[in-house]
Amino acid sequence: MKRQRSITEPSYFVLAALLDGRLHGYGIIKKAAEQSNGRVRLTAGTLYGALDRLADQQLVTVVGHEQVAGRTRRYYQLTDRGIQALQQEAARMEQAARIVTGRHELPAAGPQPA
Amino acid sequence: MNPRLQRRYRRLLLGYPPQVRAARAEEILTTLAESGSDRRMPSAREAWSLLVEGVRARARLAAADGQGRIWADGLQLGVLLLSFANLGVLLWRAWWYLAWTVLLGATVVAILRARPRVALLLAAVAALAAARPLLPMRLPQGLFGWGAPGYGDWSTVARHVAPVLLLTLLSLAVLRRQLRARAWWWLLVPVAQVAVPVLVVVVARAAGSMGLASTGPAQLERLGELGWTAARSAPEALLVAAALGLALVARDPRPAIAALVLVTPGLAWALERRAWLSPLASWYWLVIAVTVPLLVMAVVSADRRQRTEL
Repeated sequence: MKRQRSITEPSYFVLAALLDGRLHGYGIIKKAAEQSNGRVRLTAGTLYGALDRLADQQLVTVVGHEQVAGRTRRYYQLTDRGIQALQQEAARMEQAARIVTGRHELPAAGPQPA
Repeated sequence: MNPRLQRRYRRLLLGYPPQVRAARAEEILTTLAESGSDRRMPSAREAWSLLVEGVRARARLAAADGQGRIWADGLQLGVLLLSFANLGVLLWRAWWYLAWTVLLGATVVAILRARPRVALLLAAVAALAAARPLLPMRLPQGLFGWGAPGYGDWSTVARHVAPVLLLTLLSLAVLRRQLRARAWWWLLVPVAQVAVPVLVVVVARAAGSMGLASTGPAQLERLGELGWTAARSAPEALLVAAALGLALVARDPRPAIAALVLVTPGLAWALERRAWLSPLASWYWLVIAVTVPLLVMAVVSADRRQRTEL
């Protein structure tokens, strides 16, 4: 049986950043930071590593490029497979979160270690 | 982005495979420029991530050719390093063991240029010559008796038998067709193997002539020995540490496979001679022994994460 690929946090936020439409590299970095309240700060190396792996699995695709002040920008977009994978991952995390958030009562937190 | 910063980022991008660099470098530089163009130096976070992702991209490209490529690369690197180590043992007496040095040197070149069957033949001659005192039959003098060192214990012979076994594996069609020739600059390794101890002695002599240290013949001999030890064990320890790091951080199992190949015959040797090892050498080999299961786990984990993580 083929092993299910797991989506790491940076890749999850790259996919989520593309939900509203196509974006270029820096656009994805900004959107991921915005959507995670500044927690996920993608570096260029991490971003393009994730984009290459996601493109290999046909979860994202390049939809165009432009030259801005002599520099190359490529635009990326989610594919149908990418949307499906993102939805599956979100559902998995939601189910995992419900184990905790769905409880009526949570045990009281003990004293914090010094 | 100022030209100096761009040059520094381009240097960091050299870790990526050439085809990824050709396709991606300009785009990565554009994004880096948009992220913060007023810096003078690359940020530590960006630099580290470019270095790690460069290695990771190399492993990803290799894995795309199939598992055979990962194992072919790792074993080839391992047997190459082991052959450098074997060559290094008598390199400082190359003049007295000229044919032996040429034989081991030719083996190194054959491995480097991805000719496993030629390398296997040369390694088999070297292994038979090295093991001849232990063999029940006499070998033809013309082929094996030309002054090659003969060893009387199997643990020393093991380091010459190991390349034969590994090259037999690499000669199998499934691995052989995945082998790639490596760059000629690898031949700088034996140059360094000679240069490091010579440098240690030269520096010691200079210190002696300035009255900074005592450098009688006994001390010089001891320093030369230390130089040889440093030339072997320091790179070996560094390689093991780097291999663990590359497997865990960049999900590349190949250096860890190579490190396992390199240290195993040494461990067999240390195990047999444990009673005669100096305390420092005992500690060194104990640390190396502990890293063996860690390296195995690193290979398994890096291979799995490379294939399953997005």
